Amino acid sequence: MATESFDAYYRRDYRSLVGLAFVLTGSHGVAEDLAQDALTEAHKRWSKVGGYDNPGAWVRHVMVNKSTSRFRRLRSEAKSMTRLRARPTEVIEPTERSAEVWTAVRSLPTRQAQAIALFYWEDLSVAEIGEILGTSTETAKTHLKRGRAALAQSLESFRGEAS
Amino acid sequence: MNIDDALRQASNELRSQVDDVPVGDFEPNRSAAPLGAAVLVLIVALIAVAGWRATSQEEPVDVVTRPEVPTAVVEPSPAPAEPAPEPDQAETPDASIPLAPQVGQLTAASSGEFFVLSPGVSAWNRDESLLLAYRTGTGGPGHVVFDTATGEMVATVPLDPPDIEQVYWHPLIDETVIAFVGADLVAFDVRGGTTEVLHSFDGCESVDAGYPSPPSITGVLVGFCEGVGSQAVRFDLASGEEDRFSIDDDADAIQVSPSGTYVLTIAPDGLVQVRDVGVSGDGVSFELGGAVLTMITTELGDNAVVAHFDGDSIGSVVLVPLDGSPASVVVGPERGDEYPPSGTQISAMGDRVAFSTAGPVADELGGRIVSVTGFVDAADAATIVQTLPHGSEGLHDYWSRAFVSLSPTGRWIAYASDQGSDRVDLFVTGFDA
Repeated sequence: MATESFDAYYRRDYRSLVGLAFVLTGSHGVAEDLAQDALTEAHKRWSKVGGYDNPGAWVRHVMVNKSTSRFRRLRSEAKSMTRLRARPTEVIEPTERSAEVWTAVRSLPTRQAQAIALFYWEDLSVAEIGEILGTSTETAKTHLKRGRAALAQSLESFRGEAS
Repeated sequence: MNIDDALRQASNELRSQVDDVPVGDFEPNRSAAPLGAAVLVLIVALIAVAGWRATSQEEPVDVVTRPEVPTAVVEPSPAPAEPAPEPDQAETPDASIPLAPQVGQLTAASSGEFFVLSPGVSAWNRDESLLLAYRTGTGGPGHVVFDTATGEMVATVPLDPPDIEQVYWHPLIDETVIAFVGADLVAFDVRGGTTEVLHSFDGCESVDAGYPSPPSITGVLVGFCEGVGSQAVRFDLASGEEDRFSIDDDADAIQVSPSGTYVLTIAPDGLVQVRDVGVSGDGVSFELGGAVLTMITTELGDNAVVAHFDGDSIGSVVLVPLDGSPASVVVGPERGDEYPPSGTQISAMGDRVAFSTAGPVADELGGRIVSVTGFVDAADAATIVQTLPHGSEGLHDYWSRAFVSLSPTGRWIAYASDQGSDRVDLFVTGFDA
């Protein structure tokens, strides 16, 4: 099977990566920056990464790890603050209710938040989530389960309704 | 609706918005930017290829902002030719904190919008005659240099890509900008308009400090040797010598102290390690938590100043002596300071620290830049001086960036704001405790 070109991969997956980074950070500007950083890493190694069965998993692994670094996040925030001044409006502006949900997700322990984001935003299986997080499928399942339970408690409006 | 449905609904809503996110051409090593900005980048790059040069006659200049060259006599500068907009009368400063004079708009005569880029990095050169700014919009993006006496834009800094972050003033040569570009350390002569590679870090894919990390006042630079595991580089601008040392694999950021004596690394879990640059070993370690850190030098030696962003110590500035003695709070509730009770961004050089507040509590106070002085005797000599209103998100009708840049002597602050106009300019404030 021919390796997909980096440009084709970038165009196919960019928006999904930005969405995932937005779920994890809550900032459109930072999300674009994180996606760009992860894609730059992939671009440098595309001769190898492009040959993987699922290059997107590798890119997500890099991006998820980058999103956990406070210093990287601060740096991204600083950069995005400059860019956003020239941008009239944010493209990603969740409704109040959605914002409440994503804020609650971001308040979860890191691995639980990542598992939730990958499951709901990316529609990935727990096996794929485990691959991206570098954990076993069982551990990924545990993160997902605990994340859901914690969200049910933290989101007042959903309390008592969680399945 | 249960949690599962709520998450799926939020995802679907997000999906519909993400579908509208523009996908421009991929540009490695650059920040993602709207297509229009990418076109501007291309134009700037073409100009750079055609021949790097200073642009000293770019715009007419009719604004004077005159930070004085530092002298032993400390007094406020004369008023600018075009004074800064008057603050809203409702924003009367807290009378208990001395108010510093605002000097004016440095960038008013130039096209584009202007920012100081990073906390902890001085926009001012060593003798405070020049100021490095970042321009977006018309003529941007990229770094530009202003003459602080005339307000004239004297140069654009020819970097490719134009928005790299590790851009600093040369600590030993007054009119030279230095930057890590890939694995090269380059120097740009502002007046001469020439660029040269000072040093190439062989074997490194690039050199990056992970976070803005200005050189020491003695001319020492540090960074990670990217692509080579667990290795950092140290370069002495005075001697031209490079050496390398081992660091932890997972170090997130690296800084050198202003004296050039210590190197500090920060791990993702917040653990900070400080060690003597000339001695291998663990040195001093402490937990940073959710904070941003800037090292300063005092008469007592090197110290680490920590500005907390969040957590229980929100808004505090903490001095961590490197001799192992206990940390002390310089500004914060523990010391009895009511200010700042909110989030803090820090910028420091020499023996002063400037910080501004952001957030709802700061807004109640009018959101002011304040400076803390007196680190020599940090336990009781800290003095706060506030400038005119600054941070204003949600309270006033203008925007200001949360962090500021402090000049080497600590007498001048530059910050970005659109107060008084519909574009972002750099404002300069002078003060002395």
